Amino acid sequence: MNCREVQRILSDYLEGLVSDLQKKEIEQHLQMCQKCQIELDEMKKTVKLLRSIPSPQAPEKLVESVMEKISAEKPRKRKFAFLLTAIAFAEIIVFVALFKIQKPVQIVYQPETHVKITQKHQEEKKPEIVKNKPVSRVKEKKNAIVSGEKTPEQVRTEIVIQLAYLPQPQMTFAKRNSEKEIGANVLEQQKPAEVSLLDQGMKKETSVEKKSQEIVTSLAAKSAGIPAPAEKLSVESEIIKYITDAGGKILSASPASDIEVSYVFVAEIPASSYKNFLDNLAGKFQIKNYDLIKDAAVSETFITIRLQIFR
Amino acid sequence: MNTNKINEFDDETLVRRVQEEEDMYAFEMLVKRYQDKVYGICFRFIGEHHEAFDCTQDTFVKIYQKIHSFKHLSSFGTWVYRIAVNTCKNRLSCWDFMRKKKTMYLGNSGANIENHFISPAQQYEKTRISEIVQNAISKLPFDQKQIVILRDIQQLSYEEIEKITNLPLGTVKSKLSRARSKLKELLKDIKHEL
Repeated sequence: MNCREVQRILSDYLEGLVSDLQKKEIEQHLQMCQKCQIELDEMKKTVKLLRSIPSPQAPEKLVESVMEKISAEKPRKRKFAFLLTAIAFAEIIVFVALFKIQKPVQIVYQPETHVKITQKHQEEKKPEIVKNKPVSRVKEKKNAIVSGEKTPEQVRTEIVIQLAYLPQPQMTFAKRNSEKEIGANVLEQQKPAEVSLLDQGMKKETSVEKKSQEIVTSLAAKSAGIPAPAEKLSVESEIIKYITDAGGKILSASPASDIEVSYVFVAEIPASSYKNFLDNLAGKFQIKNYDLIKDAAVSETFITIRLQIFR
Repeated sequence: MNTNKINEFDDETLVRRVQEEEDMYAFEMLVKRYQDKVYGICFRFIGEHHEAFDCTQDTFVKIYQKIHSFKHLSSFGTWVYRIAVNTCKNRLSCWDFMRKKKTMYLGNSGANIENHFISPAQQYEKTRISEIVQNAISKLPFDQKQIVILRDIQQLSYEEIEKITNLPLGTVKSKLSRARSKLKELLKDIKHEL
């Protein structure tokens, strides 16, 4: 080992952090080198001096001062935390309030208003009768519920019944003529401009015949002078009769400008008389998918039916 | 908690009481136990009593604020010294301190050690030597200064120094060697007086 190498690890040698071999080499070198021996003595004195300096004692008021500072910062922190919590809580309230305000208005089903809604809806959707629609279907209109309670009245079922008139052999020519005459007489007496029974039929409790005549009249008026075929008129009359016999209410009745469908009825029928009503209809009309419609599971007391009369 | 009893508890028990129950009395005991060591470190780093006082105070406030993060993986003492060293480091690099340092009166750097000495003459001599040593230490760069303070003044073990400074043993040894060589030159005159 030379002087440089010895002086580099002299501090470690003092601390006893060198290996036995290094220690032996250093000691051999120190015996020969006076300069390094002086360096070692100087180093020893320096370390001794550093270690001899008394460490200053902490001032007496230090503990008290520290504890005061901590206690002073604690409530401030808590106060700040409380403030943050309060702000967060206020934000949540504002957010919830805004969310409720912005929530889209949901319609609560009310049986009285539902009739009008359905009518309007139907009027708008008149041209929707398309060729490729399934022959029969059961639609469930689930109205929005705000209260959260689901009552049977709040779920409406609309059954679409598509029927075609079966030529009735028992219907005589004379009878048809008499029906024609009735239609012509009514046409002469009244000139109504409206087609449907929306405004008339729903408000008044009229007899089956009167309703039938009103339909005939309105149809005749719609055709604007062109005499309506007698068979068609009798079909509508018969359907009205079936509906009223079943204890139902006609919501709307309107001719369709469709190639296949000639007339559309929307009515409400008590669920109890629904099957009898269908049986009666089946006697005179050909009902598409009769079995499927008949077995449709219905939970509410009144069933809305949409009768589409095919040409 | 009884005062006599709490003094019997080791650091770990007191720390757990602070962590779990926010026992301020237990924390006060810890402050009392470490105040001299922390103040000594701060004073040797800063070189001035008022600044050292503030630095010590900040160290204990930080300890209280961070005590819940202490995982008992090392000794509480080592953790305390590490916070003290870091607090001193931050204060030394602080612009305000650098400005104050220019006007700092070094004449009081040996104060507060009067209890150790009997005669006024001896007290004066010790104070003078202490001032000279402190002045020499303050001339060291921070990395060397912290090793000298921890090893030769606070006389901590190499293992503790490694943990406090986060430096490997080889680096600690080499830095200590360089620091001692510098101090040997800086304290040449005073050593002859001893």
